[in-house]
Amino acid sequence: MVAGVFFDGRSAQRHDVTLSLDGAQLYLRGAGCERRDAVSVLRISAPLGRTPRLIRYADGAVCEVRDAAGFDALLESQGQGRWLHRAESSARIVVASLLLVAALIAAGLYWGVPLAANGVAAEMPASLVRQFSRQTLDVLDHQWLQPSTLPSSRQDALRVAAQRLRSAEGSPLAFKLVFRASKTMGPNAFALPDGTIVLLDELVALADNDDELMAVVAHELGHVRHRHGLRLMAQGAAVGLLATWWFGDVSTLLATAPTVLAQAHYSREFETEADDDAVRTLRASGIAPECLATLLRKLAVTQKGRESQGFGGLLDSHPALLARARRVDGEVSAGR
Amino acid sequence: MQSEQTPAERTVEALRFNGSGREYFGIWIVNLLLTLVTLGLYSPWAKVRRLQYFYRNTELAASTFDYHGRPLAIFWGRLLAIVMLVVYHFATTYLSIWTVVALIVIGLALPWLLHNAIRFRLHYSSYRGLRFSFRGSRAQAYVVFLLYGLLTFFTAYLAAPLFHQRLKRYQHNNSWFGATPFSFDVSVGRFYRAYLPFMIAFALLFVAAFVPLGLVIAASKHSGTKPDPHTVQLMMIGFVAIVMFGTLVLTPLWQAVIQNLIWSGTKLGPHQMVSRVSPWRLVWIQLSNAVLVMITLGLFMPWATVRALRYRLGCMHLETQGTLDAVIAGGEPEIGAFGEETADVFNIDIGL
Repeated sequence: MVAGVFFDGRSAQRHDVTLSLDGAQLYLRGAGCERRDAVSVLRISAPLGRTPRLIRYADGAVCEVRDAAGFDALLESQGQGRWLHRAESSARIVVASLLLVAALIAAGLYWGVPLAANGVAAEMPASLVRQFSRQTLDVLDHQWLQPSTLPSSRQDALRVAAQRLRSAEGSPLAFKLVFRASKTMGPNAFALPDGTIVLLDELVALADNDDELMAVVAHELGHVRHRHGLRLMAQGAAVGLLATWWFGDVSTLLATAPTVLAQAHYSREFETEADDDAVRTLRASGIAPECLATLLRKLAVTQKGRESQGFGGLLDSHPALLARARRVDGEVSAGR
Repeated sequence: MQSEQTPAERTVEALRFNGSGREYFGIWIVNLLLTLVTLGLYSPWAKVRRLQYFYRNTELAASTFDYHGRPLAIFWGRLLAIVMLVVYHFATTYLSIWTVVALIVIGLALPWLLHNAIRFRLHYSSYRGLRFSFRGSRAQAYVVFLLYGLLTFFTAYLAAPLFHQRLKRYQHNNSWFGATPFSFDVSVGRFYRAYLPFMIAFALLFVAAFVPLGLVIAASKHSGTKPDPHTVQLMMIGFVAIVMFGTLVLTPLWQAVIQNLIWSGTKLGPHQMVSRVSPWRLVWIQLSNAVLVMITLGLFMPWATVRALRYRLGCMHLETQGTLDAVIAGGEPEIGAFGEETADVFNIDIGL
C-alpha cells in the first residue's frame, strides 16, 4: 500500500488516500472517496527528478504520490519515458552527454558554421549582393570616407594597370576600382562583395610602385572570389545566434564575447586565404608576388605600436602584418 | 443589508521551490544533447520537460503545480514563430514597400498570438487537479498590445509603466483557477512610482555611456586625426562597465521591485498573494550567478536557474481566507500553442 493525495478534478479539496493493486485494477481508498480503475486506462507520469509521481484518471481526477520507491514497487514499468529519467540521474550518462555536447558545439563552430555560411553566401542572388554592397559603400562614405584627392589621370592609370591582373587560370577578372580618402582609417583597402574594390589615398601614397598596389588589389580580389565578406556576415549571424541560445538565459552581454572571438578567428583565416590567392594571381599576371610582402612590411611600420594590443593577438582580426609578410615570402619561394 | 458572517480563518501558505541544481543539470544536459543531435527538432519536448520539472517542484499548501503543454503544439507554434522572424528580418533588412506590408501584418497578428500565448500557458497549467484558464477578450489584447505598445514606442518608453500596468491588469484580471477568478489591483501611479528611480538611473547611464563616446568621435572628425588608442580603450572599458552595471545590478533590482508590486497586488478569489523579494539579495544572487556562469563557460547555468527560482518563489506566499479546498473546476476547451512560441522568439517576456 502506498500513500497519496487525491483530487477529484472537480474541486481543490484534498483527500489523503492509500493505493493498492487489485489484479489489473488500481484500488484507491480514503476518507470520503473510493475508486477502482483499470491500470490500462490511467495515464501515469514518468519519473522526473524527485517530483511527485502523478496518476491521471480519464475523468480529470489526479493522484499525487511522493513515495517514489513505493510507487515503483506498486506500478512497476508504468509511465512512458523512464529511460529519460534513468539517463538524467546517471552520473556516467550525464558526464558523457556533457562531453558530447561540448564536442558537437566545437565541431559546429569549426566546420558547421563556415560550411553553412559558405552555402548561404554562394546562394545569395546577385541583385541582393549588389544592393547590399551599394548600401555598405553609402554608409562608409557617410561615416568614414572622403572623396579621393588623387588626380583622375592617376586613378585612370591605376585602373589600366589593374586590367593586367589575371586569375590563376589566366582569365581576366571582373571588378571595379574606386578611390577614396580617409582621415581615420589610415593606409587601407577593402573589397565589397559585388567586386567593388576601394583603395584609399593613404595606401596609394604608401606604395612605391604600381605593382605593390596591384598586389593589394589581388589580395582584395581574393576576398571577393571567396565571398569572404558575405561569409563573415553569415558566420557572425550564426555564431551570434548560437551564443545567444547558449548564454541567452543569463545575459545577452555574455553572449557577445564568443561572437567577437569567433569572428576574429574566422577573419584571420580569410586574410591568409586572400594572401595566398593574391600570390597566385600576381604570378599569373606577370607581377612579382614579393610586392605583397613588401607592402605588408611597410604597413607594419606605419602601424608600429598598435599591433596586437592586449589579449595577445586573440582579438586581432588581421594576423600580425609581419607574420603575414613572412608567410607570403614562404609561398613565393615554395611556388618557384 | 450585510449578512452576518463569521470572519474566515486566515492562514499563510508559503510558496516553495524544491528543485535541485544537480538534478536539473542532468535534465538540462540530456535535453541539450537530444536537441543538438536532432538538429533542434527535440526542443519542444525539452521545453515541456523543463517546465514540468519547474512546475512539479513548485509547492503550495502541500500540493505541486503541473504543466501539460503538448510538444507537438509547441512544435507548430515554433515553426510559425520562425517563419515570422525570418519575414521580419528580411523585411527590415531590405527596405521596400514590402517592409511596410510585413510590419503591418506582423503588428496585426502579434496581439492575436500573444492572447493565444497567455491562454495556452494558463490552460495547460494545473494545481490540485484543476486547470488555470485565461478569459480575456481578443479585442482587449489589441488595445493592450497595439495601443499601449505603440504608445510606449512613440513616447520613448515614457509610457512603459502604463503599458506594463495595462498588460498585468489584462492578464491577472482575466485569469482563473478553476471557477475562481484572480483579481489585480495596482494603480498606474504605483507603477510609475516603482519605475521612476529606474528610469532616472537608466537615463543617467545612457548619458554616461554615450556622451563621452560621441565627444571623442566628434573631436576626431573635427581635427581629422585618429582618436588616441588609449583613450578609446579606456572608454570602451568604461562603456562595458556601465552596461554591465545596468544589466547585472539594475535588472535584478527592478525584477524584485516589480515582482513585489505585481504579486502583492494580485488576489485569487478572497486569498491575497504576497511577494517580498529583497532587491539587494536578488542582486547578489544574480551577480554571483553571472560570475559563476562566466567562469564555467555556461555549465553553472542549471544551478543558477534553480537558485534564482528558489529564492524568487520562496519569497511569495498566499494569505488564505478560509481554505483553498473550496475552489471548484471551471472548464475550458483545448487550444493550440501558436503564440506561446512567437512570444519566445520575439523575446517578449509575458512574465507568467
